Amino acid sequence: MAELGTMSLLLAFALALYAGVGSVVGARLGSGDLVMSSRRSSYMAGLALAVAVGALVYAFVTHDFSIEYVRGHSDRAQSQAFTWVAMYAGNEGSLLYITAIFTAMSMVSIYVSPRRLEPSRPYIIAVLMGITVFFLAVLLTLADPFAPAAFDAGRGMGVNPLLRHPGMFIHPPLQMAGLVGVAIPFAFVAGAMIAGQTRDQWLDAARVSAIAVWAVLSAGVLIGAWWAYTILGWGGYWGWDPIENVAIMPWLVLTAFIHSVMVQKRRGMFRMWNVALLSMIFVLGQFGLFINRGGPVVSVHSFGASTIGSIFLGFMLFSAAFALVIFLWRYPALKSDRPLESFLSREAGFLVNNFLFLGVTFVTLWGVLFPLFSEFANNETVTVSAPWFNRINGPILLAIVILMGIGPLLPWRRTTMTSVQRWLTIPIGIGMVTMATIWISGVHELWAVIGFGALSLVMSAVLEEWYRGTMAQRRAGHNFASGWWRMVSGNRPRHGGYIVHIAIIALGIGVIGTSFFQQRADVALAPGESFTLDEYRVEYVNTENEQREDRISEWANVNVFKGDEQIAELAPWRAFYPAFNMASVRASIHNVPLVDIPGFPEYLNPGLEDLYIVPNEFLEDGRVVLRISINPAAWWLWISGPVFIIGTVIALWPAPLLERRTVPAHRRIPSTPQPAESVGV
Amino acid sequence: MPIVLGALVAIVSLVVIAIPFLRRSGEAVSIRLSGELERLTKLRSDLYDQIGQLQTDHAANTISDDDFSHQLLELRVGAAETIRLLDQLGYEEEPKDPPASLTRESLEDEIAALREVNSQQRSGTDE
Repeated sequence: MAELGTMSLLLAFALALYAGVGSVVGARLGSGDLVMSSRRSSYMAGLALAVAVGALVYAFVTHDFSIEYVRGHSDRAQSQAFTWVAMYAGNEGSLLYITAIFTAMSMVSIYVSPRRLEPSRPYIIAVLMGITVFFLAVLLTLADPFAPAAFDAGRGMGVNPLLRHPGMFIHPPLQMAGLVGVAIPFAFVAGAMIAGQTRDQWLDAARVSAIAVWAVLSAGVLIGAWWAYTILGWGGYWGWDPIENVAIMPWLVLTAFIHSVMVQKRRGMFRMWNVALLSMIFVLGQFGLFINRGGPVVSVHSFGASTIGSIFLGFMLFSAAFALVIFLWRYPALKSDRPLESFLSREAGFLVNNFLFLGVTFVTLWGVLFPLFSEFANNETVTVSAPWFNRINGPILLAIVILMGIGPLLPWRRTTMTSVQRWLTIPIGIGMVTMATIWISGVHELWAVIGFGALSLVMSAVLEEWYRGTMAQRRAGHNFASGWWRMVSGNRPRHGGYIVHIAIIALGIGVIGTSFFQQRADVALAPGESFTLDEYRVEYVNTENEQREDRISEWANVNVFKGDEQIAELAPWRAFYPAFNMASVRASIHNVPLVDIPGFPEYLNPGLEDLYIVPNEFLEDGRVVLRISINPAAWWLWISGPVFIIGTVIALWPAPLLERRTVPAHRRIPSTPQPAESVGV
Repeated sequence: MPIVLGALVAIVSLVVIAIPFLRRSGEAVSIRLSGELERLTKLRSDLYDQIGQLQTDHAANTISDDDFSHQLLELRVGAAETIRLLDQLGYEEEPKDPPASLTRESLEDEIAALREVNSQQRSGTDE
């Protein structure tokens, strides 16, 4: 299979190179045949890469330890299921995966790109294939996943213990696809700029691809948070780790773009700004690859320092220069058609939203880069940890949430202060009442109270908007449900966006609950001893263990009581992997409803809190060191995921199909003296 | 076997990318034309959407009457101009579900009436 893999990589390289160069030459020479041939070549590059991926997966599944990469990342003892996904467990295989998924996304993008982008398409293909050629060149020279092993020992190392988790099947593929996929919307805008289509021809293609990539990144980040929560053993889900940061930065700027692109679509404004945002997203994506692929920052996620880090740094700098040159070249043609008429308008709201998102991005970027600068300038190692990020980014994120409540109620173009006051009275009133109620009920964490107030402001703003829209439909003769649906389907991007705002509210509840109200204790218990945390008594019963070929596993059997009632028997475990000299833990999490709702399924009870137990160490004297946490509202973090997806699907759902109908000649509008440019045609 | 499979993929790729050079086609003009049609239909569809949204906002009382009239007129003029250009290209498709109270017929009737009024006003001014 190594031969097939290497052949496929070489073939993909040749096809991608031909596609990139041929499309530009074809466009310059006016050769439609050459352009079409190049386009087909980009599709075939995708096919060749699919064969390469298939060859590597086959090598894993058949335990072909004559390939060094397979030997280093699998063994016969590990679960067979993980051999199917072990191909992206290491540097070389994951690079093959991102090359293949990027090329697949490129194929789809090229295939479905609108005909109005026909003049730009050769350049779009060139940008996409240029990136593919870079990845393939690295694969063929510095990170060959098919390189032979020095000797075939008949067994392998096994996959990294931290990766042996169900999250492995979803999180890495989504995260890597999202990070590399940010190049797709950039390719649309870069191709259009090169071809001189500098107005809004690229807008829909860039918008749709950006939202799709944003959804993939969102799902990747959220599933990664869940994975960290269950396996890393510290009871948290987000640690502002450098690799988490480089994944969240393109997401933040993509979020800004998804908002500001609506202004360009609706009002023909922010064109230059949107081109700049897409360029920034592209460069941040490259920055993420650099940090991830042997960059200088140490992280639980990265592949460690390697020579390809500097290659990716060079490619990132080239990408930045390329984006900057294109932007400066087309700068005069990107000016907006209209000025901002008023700061009391939705456009202004989106602009402030964009500044806030960029603020969080630059704070996060500074937190990633500062240790590097410090080491370079002072030869001093500095770590920027989670509290610093929380202290700086927390208030900015709170401002974004508040703006989420206010922005949607502002109309386009302009309004009066009186109107604003009228629309905001109810949401702000509900926000204030929520804060007062929480404070009176005995919760005196100021930032948490303000946070809950802001979230209720957003929720009431969405509900107010939906209520007004639905009532307008009711006046037109529809009932409440069909009226609501007609309103949503009449403007899917907007109302899909509101559903995403509701997902953010759920996420916010989870973040506030787990950040401000978590209780935690680390205790060493002998068999039969118990420890009480808040209302829960945790009794350590005994330890069981099992020795396998690749690991030694130990379980701590514990009983959990609430009052006198036993509510759970849990068995958190810890395994030691001698081949890696590494331990991996798996938390036991019991969801406890704070309030029983009769007839309501427990897993849907919004009042759940997590009792989280993880064994940090099994001592020789028979005691076990347990970390016990109570994480209120963690349920809300995970429920936000499906809501995100529903909102994104509604926002992206295509417009009604067209039907053919003959327009009688006498009804056709006659020619008019009005110039087409005056109405933006 | 793997080498045969690799060679097969290479041959298929070569054939696929060679096909455009082997057949005669005069697609360039029609592609340019369909690109323009697509641009105009997309623009028309966007304008229809914006009119629908504006009507919804107005019905929900989130936009003043003055702003509504002003913005609606601007959008309707844009839609009419787009339809005229589409007609010149011989295009005969219609969105399945135009926004409420905005069928092509009503829009065209309304704009034709507006033009009539405008031309009468102009001729009155000229006189």
